[in-house]
Amino acid sequence: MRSFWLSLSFSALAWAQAGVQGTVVDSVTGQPIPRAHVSLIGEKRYGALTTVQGSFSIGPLAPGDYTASADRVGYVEGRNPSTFTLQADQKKTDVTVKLVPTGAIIGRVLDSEGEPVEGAQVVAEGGGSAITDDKGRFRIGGLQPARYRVQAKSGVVSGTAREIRTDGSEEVYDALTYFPGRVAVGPGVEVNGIDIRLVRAPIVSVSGRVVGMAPGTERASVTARAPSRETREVRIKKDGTFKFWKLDPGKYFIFVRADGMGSDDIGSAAVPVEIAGSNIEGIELRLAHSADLPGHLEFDDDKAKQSPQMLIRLSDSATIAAQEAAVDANGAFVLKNVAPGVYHVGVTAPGVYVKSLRYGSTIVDGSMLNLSYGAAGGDLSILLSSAVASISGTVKDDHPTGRRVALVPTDGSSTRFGAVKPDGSYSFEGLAPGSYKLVAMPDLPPGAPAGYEDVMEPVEIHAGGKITRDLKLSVAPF
Amino acid sequence: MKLVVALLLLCRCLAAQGTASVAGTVIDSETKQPMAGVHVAIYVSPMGGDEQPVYGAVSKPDGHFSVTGLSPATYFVNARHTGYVFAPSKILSVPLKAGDNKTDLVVAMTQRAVISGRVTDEFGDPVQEVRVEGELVEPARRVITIGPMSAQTDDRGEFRLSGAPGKFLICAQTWKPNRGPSVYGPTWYPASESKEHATAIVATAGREITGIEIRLVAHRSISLSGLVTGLPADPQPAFVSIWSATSGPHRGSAETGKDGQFTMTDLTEGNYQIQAFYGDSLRSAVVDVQLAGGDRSGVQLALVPGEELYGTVEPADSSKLTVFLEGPMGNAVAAVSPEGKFRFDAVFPGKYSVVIRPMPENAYIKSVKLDNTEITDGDVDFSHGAGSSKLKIALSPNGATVTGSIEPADAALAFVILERSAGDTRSYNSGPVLPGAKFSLSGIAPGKYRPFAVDVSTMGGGPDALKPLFEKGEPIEIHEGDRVMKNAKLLAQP
Repeated sequence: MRSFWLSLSFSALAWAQAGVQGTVVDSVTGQPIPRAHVSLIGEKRYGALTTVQGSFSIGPLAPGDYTASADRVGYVEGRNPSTFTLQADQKKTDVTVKLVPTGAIIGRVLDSEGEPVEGAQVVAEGGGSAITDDKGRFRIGGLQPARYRVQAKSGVVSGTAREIRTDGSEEVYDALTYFPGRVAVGPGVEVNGIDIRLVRAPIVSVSGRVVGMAPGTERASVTARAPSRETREVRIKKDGTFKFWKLDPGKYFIFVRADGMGSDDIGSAAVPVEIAGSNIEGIELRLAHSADLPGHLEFDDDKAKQSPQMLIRLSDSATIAAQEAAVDANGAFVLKNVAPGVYHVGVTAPGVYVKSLRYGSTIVDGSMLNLSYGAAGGDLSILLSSAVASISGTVKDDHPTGRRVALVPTDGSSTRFGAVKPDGSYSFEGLAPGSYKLVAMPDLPPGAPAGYEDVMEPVEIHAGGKITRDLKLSVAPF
Repeated sequence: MKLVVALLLLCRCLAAQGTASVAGTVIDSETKQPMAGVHVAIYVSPMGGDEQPVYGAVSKPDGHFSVTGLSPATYFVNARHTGYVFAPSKILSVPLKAGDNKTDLVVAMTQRAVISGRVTDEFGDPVQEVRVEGELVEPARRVITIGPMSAQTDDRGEFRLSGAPGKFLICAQTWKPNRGPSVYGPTWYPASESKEHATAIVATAGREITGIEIRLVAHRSISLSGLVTGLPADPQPAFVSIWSATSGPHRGSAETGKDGQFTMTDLTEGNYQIQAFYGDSLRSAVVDVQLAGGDRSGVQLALVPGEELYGTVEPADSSKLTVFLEGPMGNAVAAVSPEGKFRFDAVFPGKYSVVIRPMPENAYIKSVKLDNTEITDGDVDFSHGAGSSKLKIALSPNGATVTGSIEPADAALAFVILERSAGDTRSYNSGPVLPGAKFSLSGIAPGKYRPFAVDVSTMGGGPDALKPLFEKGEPIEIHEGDRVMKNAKLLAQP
């Protein structure tokens, strides 16, 4: 099969029609990369392997727009594609694809007494993970250049009850622990010495009761969810109680997840808890069935009335439940099978925002819909306004490409990302008034904007406001 | 005399408290030397024991450990220490009655064995994200709680397998499609596609075997293209799925264009089955495709709609029942109303077996009728469609119960299996062994059975692996509503 592909390359030398020749090089050393796989995507897909000299040629090709990219083990996938247009009979010979070499994080995991931990899971958030060996050592390779938050967690099965011991020894529990700050991994760089000493945490339980259980719902389980952590589930006991053991310190949402058994979906809204040094008891989760939620749009002004076709989006940031429905020509919609929760209500049309909601006899300013006890009949009326706001400005730094700005709403609705233009400017349009946080980042770091909370700038936006805010890049790019 | 009285009093005292104790020694299985600092966990259920107490201890410098005040139960033992595995040939269990004082439990730890190396492609370049697994050759069986020797290669193509010692065959298997010109099949160390030509590696306790280089066997990538017909007007893309006809794993999928055309790449020579899906409402039949000699085009898949199927379950039951039609292409599911009625939205052509979950207490399926014709061979045949048929399922609340003990009584994690029609692994009743080596199975349909037990802690393979055992149980005949006492022999897998 090797000869098959080589012959494909050789035949390309004899093209009479359009074709492409080029080289794949290492972005750091400038050296050619042999045996890189080149993808050329136009109307059809073409592939080739580079020669020992790092060169490739593909043809004959139909005229049109093409994107050339390359991949190779040890390099970041799909970076720096090259885009061009081929005319009929054009032989393009100067295509260069630069591949960015990956880096690695190397270190050890020690327990709270300083002993190496075997089988610990180490995660470079958004990058990759590794398991420690019997000396506690790990290596996370294949990382694209970025600044990573690195967490380690002992590999002991989590969630078991506190051990009963009668021999005088004490059960030790080491919590998920972060390496301080972020670990900067440059292109092709192996960062050594990332030693993480696990922090001992008190062994605590989090318990409570599920109320409103109907027969047939015994299979439901209770979920504890926290960002950047493993989501945990426990079964509800026959008496309706539940108990989690060994949750790491931090903020969690506790809820019953609608379990997807067709029309019998049940669930509860999320209860926030913060776990520190002691047991948490008496959490009450109220179950309700998922239900259809019909509604219609109302308009605050004539301009809002002219908005095009749109979808209504419900999202609960605690349970990560989400629901979408199309709006018909009369402005009516039905959100299907909505689980209990506290939802942000959004619309997909540009130029309008959700000004207020009316559900039953409750009127809410803004876009948060409290369905903690489920959507039990009634009509949801969404008032749209065209008094959207905008924010724009300039990102000041010396690196002209690949920067992004993230706009994070504080109400839990989704983050918006915007590219920074070559002149350093950025802008977000069509914003609902409210509190936001802004951050400028190099490229789009893994997991962003999580992990950048400490460098975000708060910004308050009023209806119809046009705000200018210049930003500095939060961390150095690579 | 006084001593005896004192002992009696002591025993009575312990019995009155209703607790037991367990103590023993942790040793290195090779050197037989005592080991300090080993965490010994003693727990009731190896599966989902979050409601049960877990006891623990740490071994002292002389290897001794102890736990007192345990509630009576059959306990399982696990142990952890860096650089070691706990890999007994059989699950270590301790039955404790009130007042028991077990003092001689031996927990033998084994130093880890490590096999490390690299996976490369046909050019000798490293391949990342390849799953590397060691298949145990010797000893023949091992306790299932010990995970397999398995790992994934990193960006340098390197892997490190670590676990209990033994003799292993090493297999490397890619799971991500290769973007280059080749497709890599599962490759056994050093560079063979057939397990028979694999070289076994003996990994010994406390040693690391390095430099195991596996060169993946490359195949030319073959593509398959064709047309899905029967798409509705203004269609969304249909979905085409392909899998190997011989070994079963899912091999790939593709979306069609709106014109129904599809292309699948990265296939190799072999026999496949292919099927098209359109949402939940349309499906094609499963088509056999043989790939050999080069790219293949012109495969046609005709979508047909599923048909509604109505039915009843008698007697109606207030508890929530669900009817499953289990077919070779997956299951159809319908909820049963309190009046005993159900409706399947879409049943596709094929043969199905009828299953009800959860079964009402002690009930069994007495008969299944399709349009008033009784189904006798177990499968409902919808090969020519389900159109306007009516399925009648009759339950009897009068299932038989079989209780007994397993012999010998030393397998703590056994399952008792009542085999019904010979060789049909789908139709058996099974259940766990309860404390005291007892079992109790209810809701059993009348018929001929052969009860037996297997130790699942040493069980290998899927349900098919049990087939050779089905003939070995002692036959019994069970009638409606019988209460049968019958012991089950613990059978070893061949």
